[in-house]
Amino acid sequence: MDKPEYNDEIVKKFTIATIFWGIAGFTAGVFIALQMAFPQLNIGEYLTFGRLRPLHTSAVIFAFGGNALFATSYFIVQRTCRTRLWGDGFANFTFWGYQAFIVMAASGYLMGITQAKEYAEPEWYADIWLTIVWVCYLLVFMMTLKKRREPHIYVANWFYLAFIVTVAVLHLGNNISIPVSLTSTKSYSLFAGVQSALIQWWYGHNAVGFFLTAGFLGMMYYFVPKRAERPVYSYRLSILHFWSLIFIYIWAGPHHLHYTALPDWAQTLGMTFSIMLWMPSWGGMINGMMTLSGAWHKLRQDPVLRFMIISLAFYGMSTFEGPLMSIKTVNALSHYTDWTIGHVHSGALGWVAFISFGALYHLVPVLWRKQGLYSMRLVNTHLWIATIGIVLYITAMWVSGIMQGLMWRSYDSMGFLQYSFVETVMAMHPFYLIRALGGILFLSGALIMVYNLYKTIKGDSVPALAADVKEAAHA
Amino acid sequence: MMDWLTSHETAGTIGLLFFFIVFAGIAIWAYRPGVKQEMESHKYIPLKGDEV
Repeated sequence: MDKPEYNDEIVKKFTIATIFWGIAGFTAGVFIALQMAFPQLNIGEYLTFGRLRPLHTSAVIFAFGGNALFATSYFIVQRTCRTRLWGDGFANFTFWGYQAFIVMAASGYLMGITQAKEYAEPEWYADIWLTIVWVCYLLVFMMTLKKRREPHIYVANWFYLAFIVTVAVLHLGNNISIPVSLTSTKSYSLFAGVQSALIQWWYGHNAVGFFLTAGFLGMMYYFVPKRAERPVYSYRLSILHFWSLIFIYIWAGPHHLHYTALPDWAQTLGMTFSIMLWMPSWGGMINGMMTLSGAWHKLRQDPVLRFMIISLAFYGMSTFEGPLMSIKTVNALSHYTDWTIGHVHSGALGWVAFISFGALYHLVPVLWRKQGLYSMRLVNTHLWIATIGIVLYITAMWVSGIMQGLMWRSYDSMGFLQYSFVETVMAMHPFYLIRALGGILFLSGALIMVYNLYKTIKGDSVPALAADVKEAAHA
Repeated sequence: MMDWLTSHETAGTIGLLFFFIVFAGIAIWAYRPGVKQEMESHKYIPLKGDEV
């Protein structure tokens, strides 16, 4: 078979964008964490917590995570289909179009333009623009699959395709709104009341399920075997993992609306499906980890692989915690508290960011044709600083969240609330400091990564690969 | 017929049965005897050929 000429230029662009937005998003996170500890940092109108919080969430989810998904999906679909990416022009458009969307959304937040729907804050004009970009993404991905030279579509591509299709459906469903006028940034949602809430959390939870899980599982199913130089533990389990995740996730959203106006049966349905989700999640985690079965020593030798396996450990942990928190009686304590924030970050920092860091460390030398990374020691330093940061973050939020929940529900002997709201806020202050420290450590680790990747790409610190690499014989 | 299919009482049960049967079908299809080797052979795809 001729050696395909892969389109790596587009992957490089998305890789650099991933690194850039990652630092921007983590920095915004550290700043708003400090604002929680020191409210004086709410400076002026544009830099208040209310405007910066969606900036942080969108920057890390859609800008960092989204660009990582674009980069890795374009990389993996070419390698596993053994063909060049379809439509160079379209692919380029998805890059510039997506960056334009990010800038449009972020600048809007700072100016106070928002739909006030969590994780779907961009207003109607940005939503339409994203739809156009996303349709091109789907087209590029599908057409590449269509012209594949490998008869079977590898499971990583199934996860990416499910991510692209479902995110399109969620985006269109949740953002149906009517602009006040064609020249106004303001729009009103088609839905109201509890219907609006249900549709929002059908969207919101599946943004977690399909943006932050399915897509990154695609990443896992390629990079873990690649890095470990062993095939995934069980391909049949990956099929079962894929379909069970797809069938179950879409119903879990109502757990965000326990004890609200949402009908009780719908709350129970959301809770039941959330508990069922534990099984596919752990099936996938075990499949990833057991890829190292018989080769655990590789973990000792390769910090990049360690990033990936620790990410799976966090995936396992947060997908156990999630079902637990969806149980109504647990949720009665945890809802609206910092416990939720801690849970999200064990998934976002531990799973999503760590698997992305692992992928970036693997990708950069391949894309820039280098023999390896500038420094494996720095990868290891990044790993431990970031891990300590995450542990500080989530433990602080567990303590703070459970304390907050318990204080809110405390009554005295007369039946009055025992604590005023401000007392709970004061009690949380030390934990906000610990959380901010965790965030600073996580950001510092990421900056070490930037330095390491920069040194890998630029200059002669790392020898280049031989210019003409012949195709290896197929196994 | 259409009314019966889309009525509140039956639509939920029909949907449940439909999705459950499709999912069970996929699971049985993937794990049916005799296809283990063929199914598992796909896991070598990422390891085939060069990355660059």
